[in-house]
Parts: sequence; C-alpha cells; structure tokens
Amino acid sequence: MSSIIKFELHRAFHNRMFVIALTIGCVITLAHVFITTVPEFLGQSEARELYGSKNAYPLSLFNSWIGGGSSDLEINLYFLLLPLLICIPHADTFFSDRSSSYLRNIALRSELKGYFAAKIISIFLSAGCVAVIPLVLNLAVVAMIVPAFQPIPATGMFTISELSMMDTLFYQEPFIYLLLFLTLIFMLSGLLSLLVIPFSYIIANKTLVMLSPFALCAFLDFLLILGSFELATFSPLRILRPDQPIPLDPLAVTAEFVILLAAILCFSVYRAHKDEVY
Amino acid sequence: MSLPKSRPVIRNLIILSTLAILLTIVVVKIAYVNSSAPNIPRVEHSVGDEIDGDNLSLSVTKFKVYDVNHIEKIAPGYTSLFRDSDNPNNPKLIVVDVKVTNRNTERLLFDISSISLQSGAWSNGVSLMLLDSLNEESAKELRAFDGNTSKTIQLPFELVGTQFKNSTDWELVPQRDYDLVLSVYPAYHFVHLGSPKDWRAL
Repeated sequence: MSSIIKFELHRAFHNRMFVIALTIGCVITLAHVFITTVPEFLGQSEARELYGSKNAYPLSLFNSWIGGGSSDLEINLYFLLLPLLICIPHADTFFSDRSSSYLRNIALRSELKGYFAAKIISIFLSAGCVAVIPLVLNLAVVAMIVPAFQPIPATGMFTISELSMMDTLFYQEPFIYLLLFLTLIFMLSGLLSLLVIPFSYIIANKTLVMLSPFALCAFLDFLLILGSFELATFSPLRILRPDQPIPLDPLAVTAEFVILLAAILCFSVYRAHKDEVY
Repeated sequence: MSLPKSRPVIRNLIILSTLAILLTIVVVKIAYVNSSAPNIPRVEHSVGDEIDGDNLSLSVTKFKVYDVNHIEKIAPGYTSLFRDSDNPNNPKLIVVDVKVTNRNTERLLFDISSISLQSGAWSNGVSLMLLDSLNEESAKELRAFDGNTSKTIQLPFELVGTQFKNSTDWELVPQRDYDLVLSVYPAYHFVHLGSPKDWRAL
C-alpha cells in the first residue's frame, strides 16, 4: 500500500504538468504584486507627502495581498481559474490509467482499494499545493513591501464585515485567519480536483475530464447567483476567496465539504469494489 | 557510462541551500519592513475621560440605543431608508452624546465625519441626515467652535438588520460592546463605551 502511495505521489509531483500549473498560478499572483500592490503602495506614499496622513490608515498586508480583496483583474482571474489549475498536474491520470491497461494490471496484481486510496491522496495533495503555493508566494512578496498593520473595521479598508465568516478572528488574529483560510483553500481545491474520478466514468475525453471541475464550478456559480444572494454562498468559486466578496456561511462551507467528501469516497469505494469484481 | 552516485546528492544540496538562502532573505526583509514601519499606538480611553485632540477636547457623556419608532419621534421629518415592514425594530439607532470644548481663543472646526462607531467587525460613520434632526444646530454650525466655548453634540449611528448575520445577532445589538473611534492614524484613539444595556442600568 505504502509503495503505491509513494509511486503515485512521485507521479503527481515529479511531472512537467505540475510545474506548468504552478508556474501559471505564480505568474498571476506575482503579476498582482507588480501591477497592483507596488503602484498602490507608491501612490499612497506620494499622496501622504502631498495631502498629509492625518486619519489616513496606511495600506496593510491584509488588504494588499491577492486574497485581501478588491476588484482587480488578477484576483478574479486567479480564483476563477483555480478549479482548472488544480486539475492540470495529476487529476487526468486517473482517466489515462483507466483507458490504458494500467488499472487492469493493478487489479490483477493487488487490490484496487489501495490504488484508489493512493490516487485520492496524490490528486488531493498535488491540487492543494498548486492552489496554495502561488498564494503563499504572493503573501511573502507583498509582506516584503507592505507592513502588516492590524486591521481595524472603522477604517473601511478591509473587505471582511460583520456578515463574513471568521470576522472576529480576522480583526483580532489576522495571521491565524490567513492560515485557516489557506487550509480551507487547500482542502477544497483537493476535493474539487477529486471530482475527475467520477467524471472519468461519465466522459470519454481526457481533456474534458480535466476541464469538468472547472465547468461544474462555473455552471454552479452562475446558477446559484441567479437563484439568490444566500444560495451563492454555496458556490465553490465564492468559498475559495479569502476576501469573501459574498460573505460565507460556515454551515454552507461545512455542507459543501461533507457532500463532496462523502460523494467522492462513496463513489471510489463502490468503483473499487465493482472494478475488482469485473 | 553511468553518472556518479553523488550527483543527485549535490544537486539536492544546491537546491536546499538556495531555498534556505531565499527564505532567510524573505524573513529578514519582512522583519525590516515591519520594524521600520511607523508604529500605530492603540490608545484606549474610558467614558468620562477628557480626551485632548488638536486644540479641542472631547468626552463621552451618554450612550443609548433606540428603535426606529423612537427615532422618528425624536427626529421629526426623518424617514429611514431602511424601514422594514416585516421587522418593526429595523433600523436601530445608537446615539452617543459627546461634550466638545474649545480651550483656545480662536474659532476651530470639529471634524464630525471622521468619527465612527465600531463593534466586532461592524462599524458605521455618523448619520449626517439624523445629525441635523437630533441637534438644535445644523451640521455646519455644530462643527464650528468659537474660542473658549463648549457644547454637547448628539452623534447618531444607524444600525441596519442586514448588516448582521441573523436575527439572533440583530436582537443582541443592545448587548454588544461598542467603541467610539476618534482617529485611526497616526494613533488609533477610541473610547470604550461598553454595551448600551450596562448604560441603562447605570
């Protein structure tokens, strides 16, 4: 079991597609630093020299990093493309294994449960890393430019409001908020990328399988936002954003995790058993 | 001819050393940026404290929460944009009475718009529409202080149900803790008001 996990992890992290996905993510998050953060920071210094700084709260790391929130192109682009980026490294290999004789060989030599477990772990971890590493890189680079001033609600410069999830934590312990949110992004990205497993049985094209979590997220987002503002909190594209443009509901986030996890695990156990029999 | 076995070890060593150097640079730079940034002191004041500002001093004398029906009674002619037929308690109003004194001989202006009320992640500025209705003078006159004069200003802050997560949070509005934020930079000055419930008891 451990050898197959090791092998799948090696396949997930030592491949060109992992590097490509990571590079695309890092380019977008670094572009945010040079297109948005640096000009805003320089503009602020200039404005302070011209008009003085009385009662003008300075830019803080917590509203200047890519998850700090605004309507900038890079932020929207990164979080929109995230369900696609996370599937690039390893998610499509399940389809390839299934369509080639690889899965049949595994079934003949050992139990398929081990293979499914290894696949789930490797897809989950590679997707989580692709989602979070560019964000951490952005956070580190922005932290080298902008000081981490404590967020204060009365400044009106921070997107987290009374309606947001973990609002008190953000204003009291912003670093813990960031850590928890990055963990949430890691886990949700991992779960979303695992959707390729059920889709591999429905769709007969590798590229379409890889695109399926992205298409599903975009379709769900469109449908839910069309429904109502409250329903939009269930959209994975909204849950992934630390700036919470639509305030998140902890119940909706928990429900999303439970449903995704249960669906993927049940499907994988069922398929592992069924594929083994036939 | 096969590659010497030490090659991958050397390669890994080079990668790890580079990462360690980069990480050190990042940590040192972050520490430098934060240590050289201006310190924003957090100054907490209590109710009744005489707080000296730019030639003007201020102290909080009263703090109370009202519902919409009472607002319309005390401020005739005012109709809230947020009046909700399903929820007769929406919106609510918190009124903070402050006594402002000009100890100078010159005429000075008091910046009302920079003051805000804050509780948890909620905050709101002074409702300028209600400021006129609650006080005898107009907002423009209220700001102006002749030399060696003082007056009490009623600062109204509107709270709307949709600004809170659910009806329970909304009902708990009179029990929450509030701060009157006077300035955020170069120092963060605020008066800790406590909860309106405690004021009623006093």
